[in-house]
Amino acid sequence: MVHRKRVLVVWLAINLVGFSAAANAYLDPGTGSILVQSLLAGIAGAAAVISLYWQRVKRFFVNLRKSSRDAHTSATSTDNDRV
Amino acid sequence: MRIPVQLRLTTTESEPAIRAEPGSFRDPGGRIYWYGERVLRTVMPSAAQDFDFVEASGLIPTLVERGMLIPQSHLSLELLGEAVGDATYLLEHPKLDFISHPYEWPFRGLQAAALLQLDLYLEALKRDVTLSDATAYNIQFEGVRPVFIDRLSFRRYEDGQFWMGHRQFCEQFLNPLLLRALFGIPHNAWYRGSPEGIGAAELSALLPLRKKFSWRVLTNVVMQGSLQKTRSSDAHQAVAGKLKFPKTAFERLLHGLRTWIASLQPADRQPTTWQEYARHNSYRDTEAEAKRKFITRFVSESKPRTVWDIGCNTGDYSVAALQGGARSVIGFDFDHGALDLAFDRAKSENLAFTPLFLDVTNPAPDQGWGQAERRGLRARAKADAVLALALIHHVAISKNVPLGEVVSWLTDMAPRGVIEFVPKTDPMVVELLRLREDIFPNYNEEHFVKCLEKRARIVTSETVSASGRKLFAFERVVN
Repeated sequence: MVHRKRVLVVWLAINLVGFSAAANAYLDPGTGSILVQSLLAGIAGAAAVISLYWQRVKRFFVNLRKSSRDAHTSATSTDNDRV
Repeated sequence: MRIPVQLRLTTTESEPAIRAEPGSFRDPGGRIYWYGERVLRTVMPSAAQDFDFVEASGLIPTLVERGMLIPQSHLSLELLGEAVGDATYLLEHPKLDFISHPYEWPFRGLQAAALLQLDLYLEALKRDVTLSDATAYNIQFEGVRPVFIDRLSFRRYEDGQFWMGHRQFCEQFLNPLLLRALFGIPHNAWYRGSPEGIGAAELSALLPLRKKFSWRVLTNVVMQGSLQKTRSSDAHQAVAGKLKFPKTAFERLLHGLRTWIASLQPADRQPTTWQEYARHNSYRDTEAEAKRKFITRFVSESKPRTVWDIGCNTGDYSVAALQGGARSVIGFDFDHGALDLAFDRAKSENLAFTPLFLDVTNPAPDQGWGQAERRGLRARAKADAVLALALIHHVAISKNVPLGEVVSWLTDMAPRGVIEFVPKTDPMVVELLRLREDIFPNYNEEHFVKCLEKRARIVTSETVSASGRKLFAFERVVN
């Protein structure tokens, strides 16, 4: 069972990896290394997506604060005008 | 490192034979040939396109200028004719004074080499160039500065390519360094027995659970080790797909490894015996000064180009040899703590001094494919002069090697040199014999001189300590 799972993992990973690296392939990179790199690539991808969404969330709050401050500033300046 | 001005290969009758370097067969993209003492490299058609791309990228001059890569010059193929087959290009590199193997490097040396390897990748990637491998044997030392010697490792990079050399980098650099950094065990003995390095699965099996939780250890050692056991034949049945290893992830991995490796320190619990030697040795400063002066004078008079300092400790007398005018000194010692100090010293004082690991009674042998791929110490090079200071009592008494054989070994190594004879009255020898029977009736100065005179002429000698230590400068008379 464990063996079949492993085979599936490798099959999937190499299937996805493809052979774009074959140009330099006089050296055996080893399945362990390739799978670890696939994982790191996945993490990098996930991090990029998260960072993109995080930027959106940040921007939302920044805009929110900005608009409330703008409202406050304009209110104050109106007060000053009155004096 | 200069390339000779005369680049045309002569065709006189005394023309030396062209022979392939037995250590350069792995990459079919090219090969190293010896033409007498000159080092030539072929570039075969299969590697020509990548070669052209890298030449056009401008990377090579940048790396050479920074001292990271050995210089190259182009030769005409016609000059060598059929000897190099159907090569596309022929290059010449300057010959290095000494080729060392990673199992002879101290921890600091392997660490410096690892950082160079990573820096090469990072620099190359800026110009869309990568390296086809990450073998430690592609790095050599000038003093303690590592320099990369394999021009053909540089290949065109395309975004998304996997790092083909990752596993090799871990086996040949990272894992051996971790052995000392995590366990305090020097890499040299294991590496020498296993010239391809230390496997991730092997190192992983030694790690206690708490050390496996570090993200870097987990990915580079533990996971790589366990996933390596998966059958790759299943993987090769797979059809080309779409997942890539993006450049940003590649660079992040390289930077992560660089920061990690630069921070590694040997995990030795206490200083080694010889690290403390300079402070606790049995002779006084004035005596050490007399020795230094003798060495400096010997070198300035006999003018050797390369000096081997056998039992160099932290390098006091290697420095004296350099002050006397030696172009470079290779220091050998078996104490890892002393070697690390010697390495740091050579680096901070910018010395042409390379400290290497050597057990005098068991030097590196001929090994690897055909027992010719990684040559043993004797087959690799000879010195112009040898220094053996405070050494022979350790070999003759601690290791029971007959005095005459120690002298022969040293006089074979170089045509001249300096040997220090340490008599039985010296406190260091008294210490060596304290717990054992004295089975060395012939260990005395008279017998030593007799052995030396069988092989060499004694040029000069000088007693340098109150205990009767004596230096002998010799010139070999037999070959």
